[in-house]
Amino acid sequence: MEYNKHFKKGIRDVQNISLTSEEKGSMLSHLTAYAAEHPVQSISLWKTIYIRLRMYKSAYALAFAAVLVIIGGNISYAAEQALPGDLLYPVKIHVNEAVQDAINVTPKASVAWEEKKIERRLDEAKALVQKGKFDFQKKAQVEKEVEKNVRHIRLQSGMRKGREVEYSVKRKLDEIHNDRDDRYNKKEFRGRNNGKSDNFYKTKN
Amino acid sequence: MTQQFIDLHTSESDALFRYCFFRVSDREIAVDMVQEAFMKLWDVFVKDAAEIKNARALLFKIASNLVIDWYRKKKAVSLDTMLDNENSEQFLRLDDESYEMMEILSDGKIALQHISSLDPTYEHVVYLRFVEDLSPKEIAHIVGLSVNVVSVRITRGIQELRKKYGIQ
Repeated sequence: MEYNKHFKKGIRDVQNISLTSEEKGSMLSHLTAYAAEHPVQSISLWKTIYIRLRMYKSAYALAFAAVLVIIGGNISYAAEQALPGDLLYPVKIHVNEAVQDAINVTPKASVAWEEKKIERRLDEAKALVQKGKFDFQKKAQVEKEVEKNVRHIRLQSGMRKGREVEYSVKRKLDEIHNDRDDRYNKKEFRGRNNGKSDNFYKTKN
Repeated sequence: MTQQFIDLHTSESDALFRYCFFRVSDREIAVDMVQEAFMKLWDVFVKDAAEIKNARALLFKIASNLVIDWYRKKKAVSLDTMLDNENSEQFLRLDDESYEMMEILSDGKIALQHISSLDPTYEHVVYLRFVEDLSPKEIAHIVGLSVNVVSVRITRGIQELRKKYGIQ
């Protein structure tokens, strides 16, 4: 035990061995002169960014991925409320719904999802009618999308089921269409178009 | 010169001096080596500061290379043996004259003699761990081995000290 104490004291004694203050001062002045002869070159902004990226590359990569996920998530969430003609509507159709397409692998789930998509299209059409924005182009767009869904259901569940869905969709679309005509006749949304006549039939013809 | 560099000189120059002195047994040469090590570090700093992950470990690594270079110049023949078989040469090279020159007291002398009596495989890492208080990661960088190997060598070095002198 005594021996151990001596060893530790010995290590401390050794740690006290140092340069003299003159040696340190003279060395520091030499180093200062050397540093003045070899100055740090001012580095460009791009080089600074490059160095920082290289030093903390994993942290930056994580932060960048997190930002992408957050932005992507927000866009995807906002796109859910989009209607045909909106900026984010293609995101809703080609990203959000494409993800669901990939998730629903079994035929049963796939058919249920296609039916759900038809409902979403019809809801969009109803919302457009409410806003007075359901024109011929939008109607054609909805019909085209719904047709794709019906074709998929027909392939997965057979002709009979496909026909049932098709009739039901046609009936609902007609209802929406009639609703739209009623509203137009009541001039409910004419005022919103600042007195301009509706272009539904104009475009059609 | 940046303040960071001056601070590093203030905090590390003594440790670096000890490290060089105990290996070359010549005060003036050791002082020159410390100065040259800092100059080389400055060169790295000017060239690419991002390269320096641990300035302290890099300083010891530079100093270690300077010592090897010094031996290469001093005795070209024996260096081959030293490089071929690291166990063939002692890390600490202190004689009675060196102890007197540094005014190392009896306890310090005994502590250094104990460390230098270890197997040369353990001597270097035990010195860096206990005298210079470097972490196994820093030691691994200096001696060019993995952290695991260094940790094992430190443990075995302690075991040898314990066995020989009963030091805990």
